[in-house]
Amino acid sequence: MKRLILLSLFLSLAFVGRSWAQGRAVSGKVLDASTNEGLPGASVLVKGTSLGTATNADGNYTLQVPDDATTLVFKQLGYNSTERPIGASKTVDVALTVDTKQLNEVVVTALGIKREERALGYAVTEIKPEQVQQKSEPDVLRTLAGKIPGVNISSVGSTPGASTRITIRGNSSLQRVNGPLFVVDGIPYDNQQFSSASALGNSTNYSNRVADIDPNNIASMTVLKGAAAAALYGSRAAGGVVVITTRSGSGSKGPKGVQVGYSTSYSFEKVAGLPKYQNSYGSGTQFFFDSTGTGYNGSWGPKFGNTGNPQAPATRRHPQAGNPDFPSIGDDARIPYQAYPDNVKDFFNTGHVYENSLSLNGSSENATFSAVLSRVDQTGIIPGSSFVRNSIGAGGSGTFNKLTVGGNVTYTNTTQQGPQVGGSSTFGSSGNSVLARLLFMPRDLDLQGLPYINPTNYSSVFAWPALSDNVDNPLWSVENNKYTSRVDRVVASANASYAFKEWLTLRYIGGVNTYTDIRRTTLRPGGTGTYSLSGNIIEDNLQNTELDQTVLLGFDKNITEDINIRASVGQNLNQRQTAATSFQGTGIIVRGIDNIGNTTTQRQNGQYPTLKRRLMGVLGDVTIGYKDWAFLTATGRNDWSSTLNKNGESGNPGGSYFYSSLNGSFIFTEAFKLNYPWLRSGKIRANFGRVGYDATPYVAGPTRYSNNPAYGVGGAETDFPIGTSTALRLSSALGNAGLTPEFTNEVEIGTDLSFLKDRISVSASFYDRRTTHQIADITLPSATGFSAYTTNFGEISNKGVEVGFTMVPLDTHGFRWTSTTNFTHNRNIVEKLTAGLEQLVIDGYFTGSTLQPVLQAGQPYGEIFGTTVARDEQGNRLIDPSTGRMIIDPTPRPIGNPSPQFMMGIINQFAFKGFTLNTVIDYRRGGSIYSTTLMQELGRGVTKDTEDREKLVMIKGVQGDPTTRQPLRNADGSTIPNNTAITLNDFYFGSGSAALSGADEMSVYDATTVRLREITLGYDIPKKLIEKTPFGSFNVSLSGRNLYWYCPNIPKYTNFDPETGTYGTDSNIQGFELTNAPSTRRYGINLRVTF
Amino acid sequence: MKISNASATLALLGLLAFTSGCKDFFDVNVDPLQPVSARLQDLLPGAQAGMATGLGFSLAGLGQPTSSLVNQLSSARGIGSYTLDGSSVETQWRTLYTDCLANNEQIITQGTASQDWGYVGIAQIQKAYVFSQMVDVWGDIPYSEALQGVGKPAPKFDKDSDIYKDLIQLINTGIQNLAKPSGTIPTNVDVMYKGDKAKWARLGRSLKLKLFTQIRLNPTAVLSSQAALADSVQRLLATPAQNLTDDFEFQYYAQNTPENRHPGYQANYAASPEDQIGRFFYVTVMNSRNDPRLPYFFYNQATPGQSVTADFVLGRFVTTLLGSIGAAASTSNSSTRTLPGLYAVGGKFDNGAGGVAIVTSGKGAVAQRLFTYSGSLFTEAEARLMVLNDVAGARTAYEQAIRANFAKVNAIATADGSPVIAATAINTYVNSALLRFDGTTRPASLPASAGLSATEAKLYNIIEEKYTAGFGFGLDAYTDYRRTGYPFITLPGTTAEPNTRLIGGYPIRLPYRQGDLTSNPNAPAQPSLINDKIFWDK
Repeated sequence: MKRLILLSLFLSLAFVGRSWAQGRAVSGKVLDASTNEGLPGASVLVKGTSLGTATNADGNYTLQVPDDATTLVFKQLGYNSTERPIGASKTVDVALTVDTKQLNEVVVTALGIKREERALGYAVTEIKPEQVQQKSEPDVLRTLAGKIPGVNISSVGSTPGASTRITIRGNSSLQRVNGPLFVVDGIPYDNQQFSSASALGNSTNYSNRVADIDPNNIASMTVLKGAAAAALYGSRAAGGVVVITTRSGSGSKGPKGVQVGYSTSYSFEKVAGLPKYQNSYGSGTQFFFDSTGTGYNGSWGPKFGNTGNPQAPATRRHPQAGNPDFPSIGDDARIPYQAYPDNVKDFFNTGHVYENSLSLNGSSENATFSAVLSRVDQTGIIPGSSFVRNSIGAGGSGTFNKLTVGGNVTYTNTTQQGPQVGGSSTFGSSGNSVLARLLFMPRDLDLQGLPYINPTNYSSVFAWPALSDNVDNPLWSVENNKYTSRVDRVVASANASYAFKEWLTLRYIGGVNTYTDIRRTTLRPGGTGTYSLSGNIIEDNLQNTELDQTVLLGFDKNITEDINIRASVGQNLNQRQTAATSFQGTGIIVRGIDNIGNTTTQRQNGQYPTLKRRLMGVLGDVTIGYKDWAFLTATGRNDWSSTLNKNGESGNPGGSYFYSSLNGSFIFTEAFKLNYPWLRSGKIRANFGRVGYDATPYVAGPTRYSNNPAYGVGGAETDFPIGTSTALRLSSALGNAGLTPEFTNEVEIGTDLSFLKDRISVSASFYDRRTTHQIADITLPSATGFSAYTTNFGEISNKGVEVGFTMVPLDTHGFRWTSTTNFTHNRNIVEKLTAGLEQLVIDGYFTGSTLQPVLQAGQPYGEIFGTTVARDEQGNRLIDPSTGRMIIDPTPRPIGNPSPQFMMGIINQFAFKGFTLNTVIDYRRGGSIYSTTLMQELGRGVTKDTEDREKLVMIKGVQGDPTTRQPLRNADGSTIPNNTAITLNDFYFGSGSAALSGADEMSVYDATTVRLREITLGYDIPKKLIEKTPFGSFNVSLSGRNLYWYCPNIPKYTNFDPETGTYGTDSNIQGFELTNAPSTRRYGINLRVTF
Repeated sequence: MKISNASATLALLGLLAFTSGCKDFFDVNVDPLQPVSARLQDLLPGAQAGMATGLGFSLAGLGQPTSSLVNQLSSARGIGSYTLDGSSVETQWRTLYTDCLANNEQIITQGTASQDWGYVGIAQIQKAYVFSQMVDVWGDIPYSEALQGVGKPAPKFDKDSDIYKDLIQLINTGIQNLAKPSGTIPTNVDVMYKGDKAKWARLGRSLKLKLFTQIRLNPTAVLSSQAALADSVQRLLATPAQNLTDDFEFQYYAQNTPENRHPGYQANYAASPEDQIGRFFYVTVMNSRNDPRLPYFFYNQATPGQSVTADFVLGRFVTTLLGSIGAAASTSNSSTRTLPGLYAVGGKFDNGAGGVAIVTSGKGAVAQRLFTYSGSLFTEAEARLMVLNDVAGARTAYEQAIRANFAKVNAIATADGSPVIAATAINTYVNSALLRFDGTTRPASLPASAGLSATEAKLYNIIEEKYTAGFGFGLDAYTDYRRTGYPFITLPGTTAEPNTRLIGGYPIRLPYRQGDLTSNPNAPAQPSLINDKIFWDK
């Protein structure tokens, strides 16, 4: 039925406006007043009628006008409309001036359709290339932080290439990875992050694949936030859409001739997030020095040089004294017991970022061509970490009569080399991580002076056994525990459009976006952990290919002088395919050759899904515009997906679902002809949108069996084949043929106001987004024989406000100060799950731990659950009188909401005679982070926060019984205040302490941060000065990133930067920091020229 | 006109694109890797691996934490201080239901449909064995409504004794099915018994004997009368297990890619070993009687004369006491501690030289023993003594059981290429064990002040010898300890274990998996681990 409606719409379009009046012919040329180039596609209308035409590629037109016609109206998106009398002349030429008024800016909307902002009933944000280029930041997503209201960007660590998480208007899905759809040059651009190992295992900070886009190659970027804005993109647009046009894919005409542009940048980066360490106390416990030779992790030993009691030794036995593998170290060698103030700082290198981009643009009468060659070369602060991206792209388009064809190919090669930084300590997982102890090493550990490698067997040597037995020396780790990834990505697309008539155009765009990622994770023999003797090499080979094509018939016609109809119908086909293999080799034969061919035993390493899915959509939209001040748009799309079944019948793929949106905009200042000097323009907009989403492949099928199953847990595992036995095992997740799509419904209202000659403008949106019928797993009791059942249930809401406020406080004598404030508030709540399902734990990584990121009805999305300190009815902490420490209540409870209350980005720009100073300050209020770095730094007593320690502390609370977790009471029932004082060592270390081994809640911190994120000082050399040189333009700038931050609620001397998280784009876990790399600060110098 | 023609053509093309070939276009929703059906021979080895994992002597199995509860191991985890909660053994619960029993159930369903009675019988006896072990630690559990997927998303918890009743019937059905004519089962498909249906039938009968013996203090919860118990036991003793090949065990292999080594080996012959040995077991039980099995059961890393700083040191035996609050309680003893040895996990035979255990010190190629020939003889000894009042028969079974265990140790040593225990040493030990049984001497752990009757003292010896031989699988020892109170293990916080502290009370059952309580509206509250007894408990 729907099919018929769409079809008839499609056909009826062809018959609209068939009659054409006869009269005399008028011709002429429409020019851009600023360049004097012809303007193609401008509409030419006979005033008072619906007659009109559009200019050709050169800007020329010919129009039959009735004899009584007097005036022609010329319109082009982005230009001021102009009227010209016809008179007796047969030629009417006109030059259109660019419209600078807010509402007339042209933005790219869904499917690349360009619209004037005034016609949009929803919020979009456009990002100009200069906002992301040359910001000392090679990751395009990170350059956006603070610049778009409604968008939350968070990064994983500071290692080169580390992934960046982006969500628009919060998390919408319970279990699907949240985040927007990326569309680059009209083709969806896969942004998966694939993790070769769990974030708690031998992993690195893997890239998400938008890392393959060079910010320097971006021509324009539009962020479509709401469901109504994104609905035409279909299923994957539920989390918003980021539409990117690259410079080679833009196909837009530049000035005639050939233009060459070159930009180059160099930045260096320094470790920024290092604590202020205390340098008074060395390793030990309770002011006592280690007497056993085992040594200590913590710096709770005697004060350096203390001659009283407890006495500090002047020297200690060299940890390798007497070790026959170190003949040069004498049997009685001793090392001083003293502070090594820079033992952590000196570990880090200065990082570098080199960016170079060369572009070439050629434009002629009928054709354009552009090519971009760019390279980013980054080395990080951790030795051996790097990220290199080479990209070459070429594109062009040509116009032949009514036909325009174009194409674009981009090849990107990205290599990431990383240290092992798998989350460590809390879950006792990866001692191979370079960060396992680095930031909280004992203060008397001479990292640079002591040996880190055994010269005989090349194993890791890390001072005394307390360290050596559990973790690799960081210096050894960076040399021997490695990760490399090489991505080759090709994006190719072709497009064509054919203008049957000025008002009827058929467009086609189709292409392929494919990449392979070849990875290797190496643990050379000699480290700690499972592969200490054999070494281990894992090679992953990932492959992802997406094919996509859209055919769109567009209609644009003025029905009357006041009424314009724009409509399109189209079809979209999409196929996505992912395959991966992984092999493990153990028993490295020749040290230094990190290749699986150099191992004694190889085997398949787990099984990665091989996924294939297809989707077809039929879509249409209609916009009716009235007098340029009222617009109403309706869109509809029906998808058929291979991942859903028709009528819920197993084995009958191609399930169908329909969704639609409606949006309207009303420019009241023009409708009511308001003419206040203070109000330049005002628009209100409203929309309702709905987007459907299908399932992952194969879930809507019978329960599957896994082959060569594995049993047990890490360190106690049994893998098939066992001896000569092979096996299949029922998957613990039950299939469900009856899955239906999940839907996101969103209501949004907003306004765009401009005051005082555009000196002040405000854009505000309020939205309420609800995602229902989620495709997610119900946790089944294991006693059912299964763990999960995928079905439709639950609801997540995102309610929020986005405000963009721009003002120009000063604009005088060539000095212009522009200030923009972006405000984002989003409340992300899990409204309901389903009967019998109290909560879902995001991801299985935390199995067995009391610390969990939880989805629970009525709670914020991804609420952190963990153990708490037991309390009495009045909320007083219960203290164990025998230890003086807090009594832990092991039942996990909510202890922190990772989402911020609000975020503000404050962007100031000062321009004066070619100089531009840009600053981005952002303020994030609230949001919690569970941090093992903080827990360890305090628990190990290494920062100045714990330096003042020659005292006892008494924890405020009342005495309690550690077994019953009830308060102890006097005979009269009153509670007894704690009167047991403890050392600072005990306060921060041990069961019930405020840090290490304390209740989980003790290590949750408020991440409120004020940050000077970005600063750029640029200078455009005046054209006059370079007239005689080959340069067309010349710009130099200085840039800085992350120059300062302040977190009022984080222990002062830890200098910890809470803008980090262990889980990347492939996970919905937020607010967990499990010993991440410290943040960095960058300073850059940039040059940009055109010839 | 031209325009409308073109449009109509396009419209037609669009229509064609999704009417013809539409089915083929979407027909990609079939996993190319993971099948949606499995043959019986593919299912059986997996179900057995799930059983060995979930019950075995490792982090992932019940055999390891229960060994801590009977002081064979000393654990630094929550179980060591008897502070258990819903996460303590959740992996084991999940492994048993999903990895083992769900697949086992599929064999029964599928095999019944295809009339492969051999597979069905094996799966039924396996099911009875696994469920009986689960009842023994968890009491009431989902049984009648379990393993039905979304058909019963909230299975009720059946009464423990009712499950026992049904298991007896299930074993009977299984034995009947094994007797029906059906195809052979390849040796590599049945990891436990290499397709030998007669052994499975004997296991079924030995298992029934075990269950009847376990309920002897409360038989009427399962059987009609006390007399019925004696009658059943008497009949079962007519068809006993025959020899070591009746050992119900899951074989592991030395290769580690794929990982085929005993899970307990993987965890203990690594840089940071997992297990520590209980002082009571090593010192009071085995060392006191100069047990020749010591170098097979344990590997002492300390070299002779090495000075070791640790929580507890006796000669080369190094450990941390259960619940220790001693000065060196948290001192790392990774490279000096005593580890489970060859017999338990396929570790290193202790030749007296010591040395830090590394991943290549042993092979990890020993089987996970579940219910051994020796174990069924000990069961027989208890049954004869306590149910049939047949002291002489009990004494014979007791001696056979000990000898069977020595034979097992020697078989493992031979397979490993290590020296075996000489027959004279075995005889010496057996004779001393018989003297203890006869009351001539007393085991070190049994003070005269305990005041046991002569019969109880004999039972004490049976259980303590069973406890010893059962090392490497703590479940039965834990069950026996709760049923009989033997051996008198020393609990932390008592004078027998100085410098230790008991935080929780002694758990007489294990906690349910928290996730199963949370996600099942028909689940009861977590029972009291200290007070709520399993039905057979005295």
